[in-house]
Amino acid sequence: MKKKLKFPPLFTAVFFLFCFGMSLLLLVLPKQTFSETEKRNLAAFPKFSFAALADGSFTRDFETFLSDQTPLRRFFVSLNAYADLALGNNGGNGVYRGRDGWLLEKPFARDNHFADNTGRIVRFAQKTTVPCTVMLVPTKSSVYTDKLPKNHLRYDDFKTIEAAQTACEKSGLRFVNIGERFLAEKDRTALYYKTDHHWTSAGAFIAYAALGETLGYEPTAADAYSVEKTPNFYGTSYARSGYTLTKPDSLEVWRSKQTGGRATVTIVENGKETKADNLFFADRLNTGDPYTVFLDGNHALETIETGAGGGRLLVIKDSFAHCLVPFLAEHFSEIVTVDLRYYKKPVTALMSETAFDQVLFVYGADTFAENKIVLR
Amino acid sequence: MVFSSFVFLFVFFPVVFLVYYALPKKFRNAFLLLSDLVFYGWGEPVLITLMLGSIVFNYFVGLLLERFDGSDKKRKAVLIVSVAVDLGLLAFFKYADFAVRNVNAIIPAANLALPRIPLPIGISFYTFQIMSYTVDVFRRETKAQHSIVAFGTYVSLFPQLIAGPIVRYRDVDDQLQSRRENLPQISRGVQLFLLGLAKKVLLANPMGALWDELRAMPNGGALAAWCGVIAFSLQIYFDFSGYSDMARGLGNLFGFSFLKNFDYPYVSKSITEFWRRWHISLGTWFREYVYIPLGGNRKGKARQIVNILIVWMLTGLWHGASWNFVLWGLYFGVLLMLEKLFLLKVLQKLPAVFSRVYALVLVALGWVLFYFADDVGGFAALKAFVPRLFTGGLLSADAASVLLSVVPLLLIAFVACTPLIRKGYDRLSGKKLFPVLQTAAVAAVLLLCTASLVSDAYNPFLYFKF
Repeated sequence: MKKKLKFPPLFTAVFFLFCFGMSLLLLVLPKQTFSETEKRNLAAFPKFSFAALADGSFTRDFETFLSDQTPLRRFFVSLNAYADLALGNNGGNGVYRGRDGWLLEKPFARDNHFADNTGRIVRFAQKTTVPCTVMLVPTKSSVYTDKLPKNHLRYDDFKTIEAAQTACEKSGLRFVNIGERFLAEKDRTALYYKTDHHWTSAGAFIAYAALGETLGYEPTAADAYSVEKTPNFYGTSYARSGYTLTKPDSLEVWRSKQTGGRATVTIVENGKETKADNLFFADRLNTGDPYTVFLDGNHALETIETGAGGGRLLVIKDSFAHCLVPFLAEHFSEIVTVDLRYYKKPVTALMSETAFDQVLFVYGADTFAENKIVLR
Repeated sequence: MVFSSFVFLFVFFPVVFLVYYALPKKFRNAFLLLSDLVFYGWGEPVLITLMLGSIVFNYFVGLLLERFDGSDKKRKAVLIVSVAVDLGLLAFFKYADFAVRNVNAIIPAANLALPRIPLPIGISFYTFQIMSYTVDVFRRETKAQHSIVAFGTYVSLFPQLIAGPIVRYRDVDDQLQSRRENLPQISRGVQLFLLGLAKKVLLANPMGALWDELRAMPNGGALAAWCGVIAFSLQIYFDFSGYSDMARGLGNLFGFSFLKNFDYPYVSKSITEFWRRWHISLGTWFREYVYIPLGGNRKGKARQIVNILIVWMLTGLWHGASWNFVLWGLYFGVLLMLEKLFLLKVLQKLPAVFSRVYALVLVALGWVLFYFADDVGGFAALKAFVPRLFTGGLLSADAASVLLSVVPLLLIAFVACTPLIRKGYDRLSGKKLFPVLQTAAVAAVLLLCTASLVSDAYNPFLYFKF
C-alpha cells in the first residue's frame, strides 16, 4: 500500500497557484493596446459572431489576444532569451548578444532579393535621363564583427554589396560604397547604435561626406552641427533580442547650427497631408519610438522644401535615409523621399510631375535583401 | 485546442478543474462531456457535429448488439454495418482527396476535381477508440454502455481526444462509472503533465526548429543533414510522447488512468523492440483488431507474412493520406519480418552497442521517409534530401555555427531519451531534500515553458494532423 497523503506535496500547490494565478492576472490586469518594445499594436478581445466562430477566426483571434496580453510578457520573453543563452544558444531571437553591450542581428538569408532588387534599380535607371546614385549600407554586424560572439554565422554583406556595385557600375549607374570608410572609422566613432539596427548620425555623416563628390556638393564640416543626445534609447535590436538587461544607447540628433533643421516637411499618408516646419520632430523623443525624431519615421511620401539653393533630389529609401536626409537638405532646394514598402503608385509618374536633378537610392543591406522592391 | 497553449493552460484547464471538483460526483461525467465538446469545438467548430453523430450512432450500435444477444447473425450484421460506417467516415474525410489524386494519376483522362475535404481533428484516434468499443461489445469482452453521457465522455475525453493514446474502452469502462479522484493521483497527474509539457515545449519545439534550419541549408554538408535527421527524430519523439504524457497526466487529474504509450523507444535493440515501445496503444490496437482477426501467426508462415504486410501497410496509411506513409509502414513491415525470420537471433549475439545503433539508424531513416509527405514536397523533396546525407562535403561553416549553439540542448535531449533521468529521480525520492527539488523543478518547468511559449509562435503539434 502506498502511504496516504494528508497534504498534497508542495509542487502540486505550486502548479495550481501558477495556473490559477496566471488566469487571475489575465482577468484583472488592464488590457494593453500597444507594445512599446515591439512597436506594434496588441490584439484586442475579438468580436464574437457565429460566423467568426464557425470559420475558426474567433478562437484563433482569441488565442492571439491571450498571447498578446499574457501577464509579464516582457519578463517571460527575456527569461527565455537568457535561458537559451545559458545553454549556449546565443541569438535565439535572431539577434546576438555581442561584446561590450552590442546587440547584433544575425545575417540576412543567403537566399535573398539582393541581386533581383539591384536589377530592378538598374532597369529603372536605364529608362530615365535623371542621374541615379545607389548607396547600400552594410549591416552593423558585418562592420562590427569584432563585437560578435565567438560562434556566429558568416556575414556576406561586403561581398554582396560589391556584387551590386559591379552590376550598377557596369550599367552606368553611380554607386557609392562606404564599406571601406566604415571599417576605417568604426573604432573611432560608433557608426551604429548598439541596441538598434540603424546607423547613428555619425555614421550617416560619413555617408553624407562620401556622397558629396557624386551628388555634387561640398560637404559641411562636422563641427557645423550641434549634437543633441537623448539618453535611454532602446532600439529594434533590443526589442527583438529579448536581452532586456542590455544598457540603453543615447539617441543622437545632429542639428545644423546654421539652419537648426528648419524646412517645410509635407507628409502624405493615405491621401492625407500634414505639414511640419522642421526636419527633426523633437516631441518624438519622449515617446516609445524616439527614432521617429528623424522625418517622423516611415512614410510613403515626404516632401522637404528647404529654402536653400541647389537642385531637386528624389530619395528612394528605407529608414536608413531618415537621419541622412537632414544632412542632404543643406544642398538641395527640394528633397522628396519615397518608401516603396508603402508607396504603391509608379515612381515614374512622380518624376514626370517634378523635374528632379538627381535620384538617390539608400537602403540598409538587410531591408534590401529581405524585401522585394517594386519599382515602376 | 492544444495543451501547450495559453488558452488551455490559463483559461480552459483552471476553469474545468475548478468546476469539476466543485460539482457532486453524479454530474461530473456530464460536465466533462461538456468540457470535451468545448475543447474539440474550439478548433473544430463545424465538424464537431460529425463526432457527435458518431457518438450517437455507435451508442445505439452497442445497445443493439446487446439487444440481439440471441442471434449471432443479427449481431454480425450490426457490427459489419457499424464498422463500415465508422471506417467509411474515416476513409471519406481522411482519404478522399488522396484517392482522387491517385485516380487522376493513373487515369489522367478522368481528371476528377479534388473534393478538398477538411480533415476533422483527431478523427483517426476517436474512430479507433469507438471501434475498440463496438468490436469488444460484439466479442462480449465488455458490456454495452447504457449511459450516452458516459459513452460520449469516453469517445471525446479531452486529454486523449486529438492525439491519443488510443484508449481501449474496456480499459476505462470501470473508470467511467465510478472513479475515485484522490490527491496522490492528482499529484502524479501534475508530474506527468509537466513532464509532457517540458518535453513538448523545451525539447520538441527547439528540435523542430533545428531540423527546419538544417533542412534549409542545402549546402550544409552531410553531417548537417544527419544532424537534421537526428533533430527530427528527437522532435517527433518528444512531441508525441510529450503529448501522451500530458494526456495521461490530465487523465490522472480527473481520476482516470491510461496505459503508457511510450517506453523509451530509442533505447531499443531491434525494430521489434522499438515497436513494442513506440506508440504502444496503436500497436496494441492493430494487433487486437486487425492482425489477430486476420489469423496472426496461426495459419502458417506464408499467411503470417501477408498479415504482417497488411497490418504495416495500414499502420502507415493511418498516419496520413500520402504514399510515403504507406512506404514507411511497409519499410517497418519488411524489417520486422526479417527480424522474425533470422535477424533477431543475429542481433542477440551482437554486443548491445551494435544492435542499438542498428535500431536507431533504421528508425531515423524511417523518419526521413515519414517526414516527406505530399504536403512538404513528397517524393521529389525526399529525392532531393537523401543525397545530402552522403555527398556535398562534411559541414559548412554556417551549419557548424548552428550546431555548435545547440550542443548542450542535444546532449540534454539524448539523456532524456533514456531512463537515466527517471532512475535519478527515483533514487532521490527517499532523500530529505527531495520535496524541495521537486518543487524547484516544477517551478522551473512552469516558468521556462511559459517563457518559451510567450517567445515562440512556433507551436504546431505534429500529431495534430492525424
